[in-house]
Amino acid sequence: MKKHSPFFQKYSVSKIGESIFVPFVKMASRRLIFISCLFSFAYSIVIFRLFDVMVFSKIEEEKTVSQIDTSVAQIRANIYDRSAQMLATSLSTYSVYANPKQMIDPKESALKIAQVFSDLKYEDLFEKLTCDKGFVWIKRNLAPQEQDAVLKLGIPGIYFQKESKRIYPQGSLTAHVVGLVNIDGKGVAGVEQKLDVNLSQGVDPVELAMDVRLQHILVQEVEKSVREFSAKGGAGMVMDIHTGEILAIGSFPTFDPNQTSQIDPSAMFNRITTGVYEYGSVMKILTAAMALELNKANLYSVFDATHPIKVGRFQIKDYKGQNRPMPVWEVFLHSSNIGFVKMAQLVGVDAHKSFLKKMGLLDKPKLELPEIGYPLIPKPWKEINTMTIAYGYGLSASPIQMARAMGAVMNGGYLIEPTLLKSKEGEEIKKTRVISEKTSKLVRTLMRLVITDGTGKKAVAPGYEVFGKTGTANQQSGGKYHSNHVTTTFIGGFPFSNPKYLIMVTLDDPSPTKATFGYTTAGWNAAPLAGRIIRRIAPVVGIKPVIDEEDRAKDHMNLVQTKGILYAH
Amino acid sequence: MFSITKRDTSYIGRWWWSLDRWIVIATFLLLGIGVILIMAGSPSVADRLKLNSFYFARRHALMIIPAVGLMLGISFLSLKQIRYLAFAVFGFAVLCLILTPFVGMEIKGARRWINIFGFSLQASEFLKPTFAVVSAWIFYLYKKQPHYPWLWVALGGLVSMLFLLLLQPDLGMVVMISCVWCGQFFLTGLSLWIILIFAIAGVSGILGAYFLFPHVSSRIDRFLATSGDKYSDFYQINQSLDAFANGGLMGQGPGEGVVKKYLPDAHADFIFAVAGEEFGFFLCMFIAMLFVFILIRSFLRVIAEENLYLILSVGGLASGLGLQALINMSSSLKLIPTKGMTLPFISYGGSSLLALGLMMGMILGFTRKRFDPRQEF
Repeated sequence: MKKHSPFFQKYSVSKIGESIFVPFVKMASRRLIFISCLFSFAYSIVIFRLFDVMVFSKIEEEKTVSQIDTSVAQIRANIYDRSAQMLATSLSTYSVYANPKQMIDPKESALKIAQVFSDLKYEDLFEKLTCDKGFVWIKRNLAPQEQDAVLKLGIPGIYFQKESKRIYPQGSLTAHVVGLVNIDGKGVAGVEQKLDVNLSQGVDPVELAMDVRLQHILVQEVEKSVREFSAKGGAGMVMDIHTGEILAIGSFPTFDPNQTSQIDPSAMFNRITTGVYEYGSVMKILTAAMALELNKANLYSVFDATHPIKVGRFQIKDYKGQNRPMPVWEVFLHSSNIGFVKMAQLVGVDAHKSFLKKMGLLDKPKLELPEIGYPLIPKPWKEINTMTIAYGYGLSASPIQMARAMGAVMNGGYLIEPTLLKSKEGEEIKKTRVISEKTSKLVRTLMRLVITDGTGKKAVAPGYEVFGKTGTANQQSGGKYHSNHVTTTFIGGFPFSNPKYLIMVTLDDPSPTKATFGYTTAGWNAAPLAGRIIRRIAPVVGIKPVIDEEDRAKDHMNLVQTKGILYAH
Repeated sequence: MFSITKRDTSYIGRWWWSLDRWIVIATFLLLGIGVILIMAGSPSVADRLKLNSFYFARRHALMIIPAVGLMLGISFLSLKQIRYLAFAVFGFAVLCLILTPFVGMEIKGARRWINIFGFSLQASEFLKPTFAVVSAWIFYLYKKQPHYPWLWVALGGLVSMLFLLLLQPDLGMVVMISCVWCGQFFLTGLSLWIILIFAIAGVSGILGAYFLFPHVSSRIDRFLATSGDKYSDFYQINQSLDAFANGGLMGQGPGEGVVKKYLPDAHADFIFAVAGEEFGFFLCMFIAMLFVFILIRSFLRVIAEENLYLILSVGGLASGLGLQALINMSSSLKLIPTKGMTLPFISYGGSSLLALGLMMGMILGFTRKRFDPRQEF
């Protein structure tokens, strides 16, 4: 009998042949059963784990399961003009992004994606797909065909996000008012920004007061004049003076909100609401209204404009001066600086200041736009400031502020906050009386004279009885005024017999042309621009032209000259 | 179906009545489930590889025919014939293993496949079942002839096999073969002290693999890393868990799985996750129980035969099968690090199916009822 290996447990080997295996077989069987138990135990753990993973754990809310994110992005509300012309709408699109950490083969994926999008470069894509992030945009707002093509690539780690793309059907026409959204659908300019919360909730569309027809005429004519006079820019607006609704508002140069990549930031500057300017003679409307309202003068009070006024080392002169004493209506008609300075001096600094405050010239207007400029007010406000502000220098305000004040002058004396939103039917318009009905009518009378017999003759729109005032202001730069760089403005209203609309146009640094005989004053560029606009928009807004306008103009002049106007009121 | 009476003493009749038909049924069930799951899991993989959507499904279904033929054919053989076959295939597989480092195809950083007659074979797949029989025979001889150094032969055989497999490198197979060998040694009567020593050696072996082989250490590192971040590198295993969770108790239904599309190995190593997502917990449990059933059923059969060689052979073969399934399931459930091991009968793989056919054929052959206990083996 051989000695046993120490590796084995001791079993007596007593039989020869196969029977010697019996104890071994018994042990092996026992051990086999032991192995079975081990396996059963291990498999029970697997089954327990299965139950745990499959029944108890829920997939986190995170969307890893579906490749297309079907959660409905809130569609941004549309913007319409007053007659439901679409100004801004949203198309629902898909954007494609990648999770580079889930990329199996970034090289191949980048190649495939580059084949779908001709505007994406393989190198850029490869860099994106190999970066150490869990999220990179590949392309925003795909066309349906592009989305289909990407889906068919079947690349793991590529996902779609439902988004919406903002479309502006009127393009640059309404750009400054409507504004635009950024790639993430957030308003970054214009009404889109100011009303972002309302719009993004997507509940009610926004209806603007704007009338696209008027907007089109305004923008077209302003652009024409800007080109004609090689001006740096131009702007204009049309407002309903009884409701404050802005029917048209345009600033040139403009931009196309549908081509965000090509926008020149300077073109986004809104000259009507953001820019603040000195207006020159246009300001005299307010000076006259103030003197009349405060009973410091009537149309026939005489102011001596014979001699320039000396203030310190400079003097206030008239442009094409009459060099004689004149009644107020002539001071207005000839736009005598000297006359208005004297008128304002009569009123006094404090009353002047509080009158302009009342007219809203010293406060930022509340318009539904984020791009609102603050007025530049002299500090301290001394006698000299009152004197210069009287004829339009030393106080800078935005055109929208001027329109607010002028609206009050024209509409019978109510200051109404201008608005870009359409007034709802039956809605009470908030108005504050700032001047009397009578003052309003007298100033309108004076403004009518400017059109019939003064600098505003070129603003005539036959039959629509325009009234208004031109203003040419020397531009200031480096602390000096330059007489060869001017801002020309026309503010007016129509029709005279039943004023309803305010129009304001302004040109930035217009150049003289042959047709203007070398002049760059507002009467030669802003006034004809306003006239052209009124001639086109008055029929659109449904104003019935008067057929005897010239006769009426003569009667009007006669009435003023014979002091008949005094008795008419 | 069959109408074979117990009185039928023909070759087929004797085979039919001695065969363990329960194991056959369980195997066919697993194969059937496999076909369905591959149809569910492989199209997205095939599409990604720009193949026909049902490329894998079709190939798998085609490979089942020779595999089943192999299984049934081998089950007809006598114990002696099975042993000869096992030795022959073993020798062939070893030859292939020696050759693969020189002529093999490199796939995913490993050289495991060898091209034979236009068909790529993974030699190590055939090594596993035949090695179990060969080592069972050596262990048996050791018991029968204790005065011969059969133990050293067994040990030397194991070491040389491990060496060959490490050249590939095929760590999964190393673990399998070591476990089978140790299991057989254990069955042969290894003293419990020695088992302790082996356990220590096993643990240090795993640690050694961790430090020596970068892909093993990265796998273990990733497993140990807290992978709460869904977008960490540990993508596949998290997708796998998502698939299970998405399936729930009843599953999403055939073809309704979504997560499976983002499982790079949905047709192979992670097919269990596809089963979970589309067919739910009950099918997964059923699959697991089928493996346990085959294992325990074959164990009980050979225990009844009271034959050490059979116990060692079937113990090794069935343990290998049960262990492989266990490792695969545990990996896809994140119980253990991913091992790169397929789910027997269910995962896609031509070599694997043929080797399984070979193995099941041998198990069936071994577990047939022996009317003559002195039948030569």
